[in-house]
Amino acid sequence: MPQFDFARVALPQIIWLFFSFGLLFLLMRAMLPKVAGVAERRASTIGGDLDAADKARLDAETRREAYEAGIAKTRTDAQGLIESAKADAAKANEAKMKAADEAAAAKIAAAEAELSKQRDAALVKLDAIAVDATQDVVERLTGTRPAMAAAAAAVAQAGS
Amino acid sequence: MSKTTTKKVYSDVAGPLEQFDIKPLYDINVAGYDLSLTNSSAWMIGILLFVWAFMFFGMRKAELVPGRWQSMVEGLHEFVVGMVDENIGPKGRSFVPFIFSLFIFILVANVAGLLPYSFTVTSHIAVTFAFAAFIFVMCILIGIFRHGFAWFGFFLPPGTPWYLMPLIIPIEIISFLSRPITLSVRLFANMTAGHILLKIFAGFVVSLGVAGGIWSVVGVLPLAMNTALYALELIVAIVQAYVFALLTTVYLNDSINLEH
Repeated sequence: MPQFDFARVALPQIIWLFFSFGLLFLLMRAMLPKVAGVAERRASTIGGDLDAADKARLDAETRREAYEAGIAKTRTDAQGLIESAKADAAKANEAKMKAADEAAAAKIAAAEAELSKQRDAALVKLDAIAVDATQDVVERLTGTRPAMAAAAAAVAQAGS
Repeated sequence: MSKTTTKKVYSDVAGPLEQFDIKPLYDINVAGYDLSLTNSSAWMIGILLFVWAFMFFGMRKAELVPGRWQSMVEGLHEFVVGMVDENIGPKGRSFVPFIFSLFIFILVANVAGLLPYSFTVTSHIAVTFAFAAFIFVMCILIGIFRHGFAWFGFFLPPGTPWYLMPLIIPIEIISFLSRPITLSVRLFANMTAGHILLKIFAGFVVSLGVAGGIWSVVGVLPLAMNTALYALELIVAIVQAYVFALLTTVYLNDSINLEH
């Protein structure tokens, strides 16, 4: 095996190995920081992007919350407005109803008063007619027309 | 006629060990020491250039959204960082360039060795042992530098009963001293054995094909075997590079964090 012919193969190989590997080591020591730097830069960029995305998400969240709170507030406001409007309308209605009721009651009272007055008047007239009729009946029966006062007295007597 | 051609072709087929031969390309002699540029050193320089190009062109733009090439570079780096973090912890970060260089050098050497006509740098025990010995010495120096004399307590697992000390301490020392040997032999033996096997089966394919007649048909069998072996060797090449780097982090962890 040529490998064990040390006297011939060992020295030139070891010398060149130390030369080439040493140079390789120096080259790698100079080049590897760049590789590590790129990885680091990538990590920090990705981290920064993630942070920005997170911040944007939080921002959107707070905005959404504010929006929802605004919506809810507006809704309650509207609800309150509706309630008060309803209450106002009910109150106004009630007042109107009351007024109308009063007006109607007044009218009814007036009509009733008128009615009773007219009835009274009609009753008075009825007495006159009854007196007249009594006079006529008596005249027919007796041939003499009684005096008006006598007839009226008779009617009043009969009516009571 | 046919017999002579058979003999000629067969003698042209490289022996299974020839692939490991060191061939000087340019003789360099410094003070009587042979420092020649060989096929092995040429491949090492090739690996160096390949890794540099891979890293340089992969990271030239260093974009935030990586392309395919950049993803490969970053994935490899992330893989090594993960390995170091897992085995050493935060104190191991300064060793990432070393472990990364080690892993990528051995990985490229192993995989490049599977190319036709290539030379496998890591199939030489001189190379793997140079790595292992360097790591071994580095671990000892880091251990002593970081923990002083306390580092030698590493050879005495905490909670050992006093009567077992004469047994445990030599075992610990031997297991520690055998680390560079197992580390280097594991990689060297895996690479060498796999390549010899590939060459032997390839030799069967050639000799059966040349034999003619029914033997040429039988030659399909070693060919199929070689295809399967090649896939296996590809896995072995990657796994052995990983194992080498992983064990290096484990050994470094023993020196840095000093726990059993």
